[in-house]
Amino acid sequence: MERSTYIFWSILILSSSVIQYFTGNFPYSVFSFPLNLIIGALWIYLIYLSISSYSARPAVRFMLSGSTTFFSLLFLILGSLVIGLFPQMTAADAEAVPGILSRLGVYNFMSSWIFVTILTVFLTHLGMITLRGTTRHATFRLRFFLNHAGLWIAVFATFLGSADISTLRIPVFFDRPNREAYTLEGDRTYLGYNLLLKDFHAEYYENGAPRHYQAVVSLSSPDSDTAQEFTLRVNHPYSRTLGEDIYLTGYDTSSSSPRYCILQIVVQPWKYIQLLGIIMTLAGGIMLFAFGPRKDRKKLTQTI
Amino acid sequence: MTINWDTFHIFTIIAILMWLCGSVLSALSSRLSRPAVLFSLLGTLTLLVFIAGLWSYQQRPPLRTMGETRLWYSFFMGVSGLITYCRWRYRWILSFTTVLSAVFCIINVVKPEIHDQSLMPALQSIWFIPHVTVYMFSYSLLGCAFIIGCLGLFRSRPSYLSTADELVYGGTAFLTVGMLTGAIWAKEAWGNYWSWDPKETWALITWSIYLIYIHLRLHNPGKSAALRTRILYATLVAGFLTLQMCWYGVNYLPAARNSVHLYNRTTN
Repeated sequence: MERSTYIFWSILILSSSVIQYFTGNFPYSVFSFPLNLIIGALWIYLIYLSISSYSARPAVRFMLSGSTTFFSLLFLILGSLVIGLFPQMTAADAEAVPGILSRLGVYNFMSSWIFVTILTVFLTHLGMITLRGTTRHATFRLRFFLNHAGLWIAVFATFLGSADISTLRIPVFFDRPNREAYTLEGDRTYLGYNLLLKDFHAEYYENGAPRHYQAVVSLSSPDSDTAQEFTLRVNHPYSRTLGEDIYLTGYDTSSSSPRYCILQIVVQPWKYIQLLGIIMTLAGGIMLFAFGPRKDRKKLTQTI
Repeated sequence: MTINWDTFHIFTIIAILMWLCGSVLSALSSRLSRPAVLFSLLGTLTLLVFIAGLWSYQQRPPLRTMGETRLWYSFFMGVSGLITYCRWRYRWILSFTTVLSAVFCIINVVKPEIHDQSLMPALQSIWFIPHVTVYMFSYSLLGCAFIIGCLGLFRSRPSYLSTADELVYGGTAFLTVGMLTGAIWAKEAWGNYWSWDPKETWALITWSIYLIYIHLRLHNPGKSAALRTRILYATLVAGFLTLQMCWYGVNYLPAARNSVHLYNRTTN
């Protein structure tokens, strides 16, 4: 590894740690639509520009190097280790924890400056590698494309789209329509429609554990007499609009005849792009198994 | 005979005896031993008969509890060992896979967390069977790669890394499929493809380590050949250790207290 590799990563991690320590977590919410779309477009353009016009520059060559692949994966692992080893909390709970670890964002590490920096480099590197690998070869390498472009699309959409995600919980009753929902942080908000529980049915195992439960829910607009009914089960959400899904997550377990069920409303406009990336990577994974290691490398192996 | 956990010890004894015969016969032969293949195959089929019987008895796929995933792991370990032996003819591989399979079978006999037959609603999904079986198969392939990694750290041979490549490509492919089918399922069940649940996080760590292996094999970072080879073997070992964390170690971490994957700890 060259010295520049160590210097680059040291400066990156150190500076993001300093920013994290003094300013707190990355302000994800600022980057909601349309700012995330603008940044995304600019980011893609810069990647394109670097490959098409500046590929000989040392900085671009550095970003395309094998050592950047290694270190971006290594730091992704290290960042994930922090998330996997330390209990992750909501932003408010994490801020309330005293100590230097808390100031470095380890209790809400997904939105820390350090992790955002790692992801930014990882995505830039992956985007550049994907573009170069897809355009600079005489033959189109489908497996390479599916694995790299698929992963890039999935992570890119998750990263940029995170500020547009909204998750709400709402109890839905038999006796009255309700539109008073709560965010995961416990803040109250009001839906643009009413929800009413029309029917609820649960089955249990002999040990009392739920085997199956489903709810029939009516959705109506406050200024309309028409209502639409739909059935909800676990693993079977209802798609209200293209980016909005309603899930059955729980019910009143204090009584043998439940009086309410709990629904979760998830607004995630980027989910189709994420799914596209996931499906591409899935196809790439299947090709990884079907075609195995690169044949030209086998000769290299014999010399080791 | 009713096939359920009460009769599992009988299947375990038969399977282990078959695997042991296969291991000894393969170790004694310098060429591919057909009797060794036959015995190993019979041992693995014994476990398959038990899995099918248990599936029928419980009226649900035996994929939920930790004991049940161990069962699949032992089965796939037998399959992977057999494939590796037939393909690359390592006479020692069946001994190692026998030890790994037998250990997990014996744990199931000695410590049965297996009597709960309920399947919580979130697990009643078309993704349940492919997600878990694909993972278990991947674990077994990467388990074989781990054995090669351990051996290679002490006594490297040129053919070890090319074998490890095949195993890692296969294992990583199945790991990818397992992880991504899990993501699609998570969206259906909980509303997000990825929510940094501890199980997901450790799966990502494991996957990334195998990606490092694959990319280190593709690029030459300028290290000496010997050092590079040792790093590769160490990566195989590290990948398998994080895989153990992902599989069951994560359940014991404080960070996993609120994990949505704790259904397999309730009967632990």
